[in-house]
Amino acid sequence: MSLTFQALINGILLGGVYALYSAGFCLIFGVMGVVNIAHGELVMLGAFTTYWLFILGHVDPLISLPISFALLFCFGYVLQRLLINRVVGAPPIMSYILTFGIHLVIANVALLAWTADFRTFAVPWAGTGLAWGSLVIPKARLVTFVLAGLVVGLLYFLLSRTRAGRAIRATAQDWEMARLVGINVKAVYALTFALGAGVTGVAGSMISTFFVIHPQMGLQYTIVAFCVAVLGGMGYLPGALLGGLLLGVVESLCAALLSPGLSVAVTFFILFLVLLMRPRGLLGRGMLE
Amino acid sequence: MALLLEVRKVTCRFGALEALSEVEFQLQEGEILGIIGPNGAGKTTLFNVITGSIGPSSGEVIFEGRKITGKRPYRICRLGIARTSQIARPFPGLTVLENVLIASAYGKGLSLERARSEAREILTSVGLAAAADVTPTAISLASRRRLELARALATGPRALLLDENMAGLTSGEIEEMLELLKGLRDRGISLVVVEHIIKAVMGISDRIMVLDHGHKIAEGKPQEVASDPHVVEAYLGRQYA
Amino acid sequence: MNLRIVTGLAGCALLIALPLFFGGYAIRLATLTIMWVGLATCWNLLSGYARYIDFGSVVYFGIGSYVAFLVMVRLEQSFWVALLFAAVLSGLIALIIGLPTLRLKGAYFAIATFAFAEAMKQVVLEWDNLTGISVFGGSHGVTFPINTSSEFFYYVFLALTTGILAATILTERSAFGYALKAIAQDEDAAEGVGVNTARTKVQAYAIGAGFLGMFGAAESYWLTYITPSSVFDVHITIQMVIMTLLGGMGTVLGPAIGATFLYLVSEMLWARFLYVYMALVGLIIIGVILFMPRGIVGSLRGRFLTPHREA
Repeated sequence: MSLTFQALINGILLGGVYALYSAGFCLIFGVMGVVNIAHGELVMLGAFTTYWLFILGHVDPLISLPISFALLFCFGYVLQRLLINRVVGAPPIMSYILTFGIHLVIANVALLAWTADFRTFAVPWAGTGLAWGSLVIPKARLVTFVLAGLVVGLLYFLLSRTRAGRAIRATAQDWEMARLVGINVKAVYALTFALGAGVTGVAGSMISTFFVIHPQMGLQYTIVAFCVAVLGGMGYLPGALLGGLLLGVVESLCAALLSPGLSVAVTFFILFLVLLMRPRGLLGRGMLE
Repeated sequence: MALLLEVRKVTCRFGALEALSEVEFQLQEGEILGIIGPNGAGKTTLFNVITGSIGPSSGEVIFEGRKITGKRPYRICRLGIARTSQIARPFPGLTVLENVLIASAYGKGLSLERARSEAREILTSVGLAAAADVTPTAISLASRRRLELARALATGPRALLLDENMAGLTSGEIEEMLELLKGLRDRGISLVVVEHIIKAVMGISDRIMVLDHGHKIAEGKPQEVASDPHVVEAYLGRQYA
Repeated sequence: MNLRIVTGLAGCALLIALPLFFGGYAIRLATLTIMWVGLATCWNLLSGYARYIDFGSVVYFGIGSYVAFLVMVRLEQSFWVALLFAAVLSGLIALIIGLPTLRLKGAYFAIATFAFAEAMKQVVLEWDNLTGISVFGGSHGVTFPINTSSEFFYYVFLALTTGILAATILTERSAFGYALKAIAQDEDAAEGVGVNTARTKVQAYAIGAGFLGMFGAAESYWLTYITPSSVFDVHITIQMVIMTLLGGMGTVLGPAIGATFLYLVSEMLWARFLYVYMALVGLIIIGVILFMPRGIVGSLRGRFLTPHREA
């Protein structure tokens, strides 16, 4: 019983991690309709930012979060301005093949720079967990979980309450109309991608504190982000929280009760079924191409 | 004249919006039926229901004595109902000839060779023979409308539904299109014509049906309909009625 | 006879005679190049012509591999029986999976096929452990009877690749090909002129899958040792996609040219500079998308052969 409970807790916390790095993916798809296959690379770059800051400068991961956000924000902005803006509005296949190319370049340049070594580091404060009876809640994951809620909330607030947010939402609904009323669509796209990348970088930073990181980690994160987005409804931000939690719990319960290998199969079968039966996500709030 | 197509009490809801409510009409063989009505009256939705691209919430469509509601669009096309769309949408990557050829090959079930020669004939009959080997992006709007018509004809229809296929044409081009349509009727194809250009529909139709907000508000000979107070009200507002 | 047929026949004669003059490494290289040409051509049939981007094609390669293993090792039948079963079973599974999946569009179709492929890999990996019935050998992999004749495999792959190329040429010249192209451009309009779009898509998907199954069977027999991770490897799908994209989607020669080019480049660079090679492939992809989105063949055709088709 306590095994199941612990698995449930682990799953919920894992779901927080998933939600955090999927929120940016959801935002980018929602606004531009771009399926960003290089998304996992943004996680990887965020993770390595925090790793190197800690190894070389002994910067506490929590302090490196804003740095990671700023770096990835700039990187995302440039990426969108230089490359991705050119395929927005083209057939969707163009965007995912282009971002696949970007994925290959980033991942392999990172491999050349940092080798394929698996890396971890010990964060002083994250070693212990909060114990409650026989149940344990790891601190770093708890922080991530809270961050996930904060980030999704903040993005939501940003989109609904600020001027820039309104421009983004207007562009998402109808970019031609947005351009007519004087919104600089390319700039809005760049801002959106930058925001999405920045948030994803923060997620990567948190992940580096409790998962092994390496330059080729990206693709698996992209895949999970896609699953989360599909479950929650593509482009629907609060759906990222729901999708993340659900996926985390299912995976964790499967691993504990059945077999770790099978949890991947179960995840993909769920994804497959959701795509066939509820392509707008479990809540039916997402959008279709 | 025999009954060809019959729409029975078709209702179509999208959420709270009722795009069609209990719309009924009949189309006889060799007849031209005009459908008019303000924007949002449900004309295009009605076509979508007949051709099977959307299912009605209730009601049914009977073609040649057979119920066709619930059948897939390609089946309805093969049974003998073709349509043109409001926005001409040819396949941009195929040539004009190939656009028509695919319709005779699939809609009419001809072999590729026969489809090719028949497609040429049809292009000639609508006056597009010279443009056979270019892509549809290279021809004028009026030619694209003719292509749309040629593609619909190539499926070998007994009933042809035309959705505003004269919009955006000059008055000379409209005259030519009307002649073309009369020619089709004389060849035994029944037409349902949805059109904004009232004069054009009035001149060509045997009967007119008027839709407003999804309701049929009038039906009859062109002159009767034109003087119907409900119709004037729907078009011009209450004060003129 | 026109020039095209003459060049085609000369090319075939040359390919058939190749093992008479070369051996060892050259034959191996030729066999692998031909295999990749075949795989990319399989992918092109649905994804290139109808633009339904399949990110899980490798699943049929993997299914074919394991069917071949079951038929040859567990049932002790010949390779030809295995080939037949691989084709039929892959095609059948494609029919069952294709019918619901091909209703999805764009990225949703891509990710659903990807998910199915990954799920199948895990099932084959975990089956023995979970059920306690030894069928697939789990992650340890399984071995085939050994056949050391490199000519044998050369001709098998040559025949398979010729087969899928012939199927593509026939498609291109038939109403079926027009229907696939029409689906790529406007599926509703295609349905509106009488094309049974659901059936057309599933047919193209199943033909491609049947051939992929045979390629999987042949490659596994050649390598003699397979694991779920090696024959359900997502990189096989990725290669097919990139090769086709590079050469030109929806053309007969595009995938062949793209596959030959990319495979030979990778053979030169892969072993020594893997990461440089992969980064280079990434740059090529970005360049292709931005500067010649219709691939090598598409761009050449647009520029030189039929300029009047350009709008």
